[in-house]
Amino acid sequence: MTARYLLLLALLFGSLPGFADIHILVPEQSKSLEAAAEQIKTEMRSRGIAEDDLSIRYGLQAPAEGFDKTDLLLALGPKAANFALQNGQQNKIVFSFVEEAFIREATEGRKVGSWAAIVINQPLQRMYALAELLLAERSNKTVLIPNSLNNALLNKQVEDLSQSEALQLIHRSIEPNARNISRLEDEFYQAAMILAPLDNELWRGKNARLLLHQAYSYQLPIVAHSRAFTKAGAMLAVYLSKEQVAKETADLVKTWQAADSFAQDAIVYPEANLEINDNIARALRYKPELIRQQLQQPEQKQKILGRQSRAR
Amino acid sequence: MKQHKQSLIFPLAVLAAMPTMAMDESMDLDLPVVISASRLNQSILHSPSAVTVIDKNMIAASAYTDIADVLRLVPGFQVVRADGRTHSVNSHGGGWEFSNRLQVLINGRTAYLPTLSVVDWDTLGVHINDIERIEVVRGPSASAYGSNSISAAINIITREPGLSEPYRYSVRVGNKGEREYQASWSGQGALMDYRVNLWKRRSNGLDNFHDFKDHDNFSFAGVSQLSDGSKLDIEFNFYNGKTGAAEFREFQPRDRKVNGFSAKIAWQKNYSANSDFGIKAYYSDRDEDDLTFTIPLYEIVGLSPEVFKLVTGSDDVFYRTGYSTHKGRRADLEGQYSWHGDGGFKAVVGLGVRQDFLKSISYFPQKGEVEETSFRSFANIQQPLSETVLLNLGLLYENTGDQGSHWSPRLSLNWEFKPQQSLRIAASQAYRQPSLLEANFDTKTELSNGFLLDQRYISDENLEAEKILNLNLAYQGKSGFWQWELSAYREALDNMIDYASDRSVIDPLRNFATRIGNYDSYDSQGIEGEISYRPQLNKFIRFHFNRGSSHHYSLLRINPSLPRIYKDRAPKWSAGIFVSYPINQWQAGYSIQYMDEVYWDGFGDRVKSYTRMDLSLAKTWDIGDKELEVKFGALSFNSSYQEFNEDLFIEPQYYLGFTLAKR
Repeated sequence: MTARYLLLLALLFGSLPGFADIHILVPEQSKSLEAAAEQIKTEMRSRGIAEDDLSIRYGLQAPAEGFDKTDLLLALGPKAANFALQNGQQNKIVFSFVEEAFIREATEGRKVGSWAAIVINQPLQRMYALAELLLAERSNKTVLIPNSLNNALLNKQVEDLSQSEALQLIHRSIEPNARNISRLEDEFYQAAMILAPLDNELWRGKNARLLLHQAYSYQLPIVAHSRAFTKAGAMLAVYLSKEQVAKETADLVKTWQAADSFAQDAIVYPEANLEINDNIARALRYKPELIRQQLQQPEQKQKILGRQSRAR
Repeated sequence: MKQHKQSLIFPLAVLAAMPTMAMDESMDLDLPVVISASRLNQSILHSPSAVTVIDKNMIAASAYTDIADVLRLVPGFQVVRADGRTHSVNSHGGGWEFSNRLQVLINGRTAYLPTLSVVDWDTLGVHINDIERIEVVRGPSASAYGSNSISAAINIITREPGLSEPYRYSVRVGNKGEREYQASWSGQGALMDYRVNLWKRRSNGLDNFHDFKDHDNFSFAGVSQLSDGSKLDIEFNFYNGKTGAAEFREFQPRDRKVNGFSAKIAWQKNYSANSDFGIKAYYSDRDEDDLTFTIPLYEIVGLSPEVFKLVTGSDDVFYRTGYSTHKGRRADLEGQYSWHGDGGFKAVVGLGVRQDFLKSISYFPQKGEVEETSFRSFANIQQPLSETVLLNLGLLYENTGDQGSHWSPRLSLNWEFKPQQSLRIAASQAYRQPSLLEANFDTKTELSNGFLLDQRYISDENLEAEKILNLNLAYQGKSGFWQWELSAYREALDNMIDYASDRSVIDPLRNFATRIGNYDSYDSQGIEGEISYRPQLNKFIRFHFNRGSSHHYSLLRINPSLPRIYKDRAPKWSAGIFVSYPINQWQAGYSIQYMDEVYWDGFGDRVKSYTRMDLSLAKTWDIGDKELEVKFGALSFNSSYQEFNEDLFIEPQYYLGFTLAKR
């Protein structure tokens, strides 16, 4: 009898997270993700997660005996995410530094509650709320959202937004090439602002350069998803820092460790930062000081820059 | 007009290096830099001059097929066909068939010719369909662009080569012998984005006048983003053709060969987040040949052949010469550095050198050829004085060997008293150097034995640069889809170069010579403006007008002098309405223009007021990834009228155009 109790206790406690390992998976030769892994490790330590529970695997190779099904896999970047999905079918997984569209597709069919993701996207709702604030005093409240034809995620998000009446939306889903961008000139003409969410086909390279060119020609402010854009001519960016993603990831791991599950919302958008290109803002008749001041107000700050999450 | 008046934006670093992660990455990306018609990136509300922008949607909506005709939409401009092959574009009157006070730039390349500083609008090397927009800076812009930017600067900006359709084939057929065949291809390559355009254009010209034109054109434009983040622009074009040259004095009707080419290379690099440096070089070459034999010289003189030989001692019966026979070329090199600071300060400084060359056995048979080298340096700044008041300062120094040095300043204060509405007060002074031909004219008929039969044109030895002083007060604004500009101006042109009969020149023909000198002055003043409502780029209504007066003091003759004052060299009223309306795949455009009576100089006459209407109707069909457009155009369809000369009528013209383009 005693022996049976001991066995049961061992099984019970053995399955608890406190006794499980956390494998941080990092693809080889990815210096930025290696640095991120170290940062996450530091954040986890500061949250009381024992050093012994952590292992960082540089290179995507499973242990010879495979992952223990009680272990948590923390996958950084898309390569590690694919690896974790293939090799940790019984494991709970935290994805970090991944794009939302990728992770939604990759986890298709996977059991709800067995994973969570810290995504690097800015939710369109966040950019929309910012546009709403910026255009509050303007007579023209038309916002242009161009995205690439295949970006189903953005198409869906815009569809959800279009039920809102605060702003007038012009949504153009295009085959991303220079000629199609140049054909958007009437939309540029009618718009008061452009939202540039993450879209690797449209808002990159030559296409991004042309969009910035067009926007400036029509004196339109761009609200972008990355600080790189404000340096290239966008008026404003809501962006994530590595520190914020690391903190958010550590928080999620801590949640798992405490409850062996994730909150219901599997997609997490960490708290964002704001950067304004003051010169561009002034040239476009916006007051950067006022924008910063408005975003200090708790309600606006939470609405626009605060952490958000969404169910799969 | 919502469109910014700037022409090009160069995000300083290529975003190709943009990270896949939408994160805070340390990237060496820089701010965009804009190079505008006045060399500074400014909104129209901050501009030191009145600016009219005509973009490609307006051009497409119009029925116009000539670039010069598009300028009929500019307030205070008079565009006339002096004949079937000569457009004369003038601002605030005082013009003749050889309008020579405009600075016309094709992507920054000067287009006026070294002969009389005129522009041949048929051989600009740009097809009207390749134009992105035309920015017209009304009033002097010499502080930015130097000589010839005296009454206006017209900057023709073409589309980025990679943005043109992959191919476009078009045919246009109309009355008056109007024919155009055009084919263009463009692409985006690893090495560069490019556009190649070939077109052939011919037209019979005006009725009962030998003024046809028939030109073949080739143009190439390429843009390359270099690995160090700099940008390289390459353009060249060739044209070859002929035009009719009508009977004039001793010249019989004949054909004139016209051919030439130009090449431009420009490099620009952004050195920091707020500064860039660019260097630009171009070369243009033009050859006109209408050499012909005159009617028999004894007929001109009114003698029998025998007496003619006795008097002159020469057997020459005919004399071979040309009215417009010359070879001209220009080379120009310019560098400029621009930067902007925090708080709205912007500046541009630059240096340039230009060499003009002209060779002609007709204009100056003794010299044969002349050349001139000029140097220029310029600085333009924009400095906010307060949150709503902006100061613009510009200064150009120009030095030409024979003409000495000139300073052309410009000063303006812009007060943005309400958002999107501003008042501007501006003053500028500008000089126009005499053209190579004006400074060196020495046309004579000299027989083979050296006998001087006739002396016709002689340049004054003391010829100086023309000088203009311009004052401008303007109110401009924008609200929703409305945009307006109202401007009052006063211009005083001194040392105006004109042609006067000189009775002190005695030759056997005793028909007096014409001397070219600073004999005239021309003042104009008035108000002008434009207002438009434009909910879409191809759906708009636009009104422009000018109410002006002019005072032209002209010396018709010297030795003894005979002055005359004209008060009708500019129309008292001119106005136009232009409407464009799209319905499904149809696009309709209609314009009506009114021009009051004008007394044109040169070969022009006093022509009565007229109203002309132009209409276009186009339909586009989508055929897979291609577009087929059929366009009907009717120019001046309401009546025939005299525009420049009382013997030459502008008759209604109709055409049908077909364009097949790949999207």
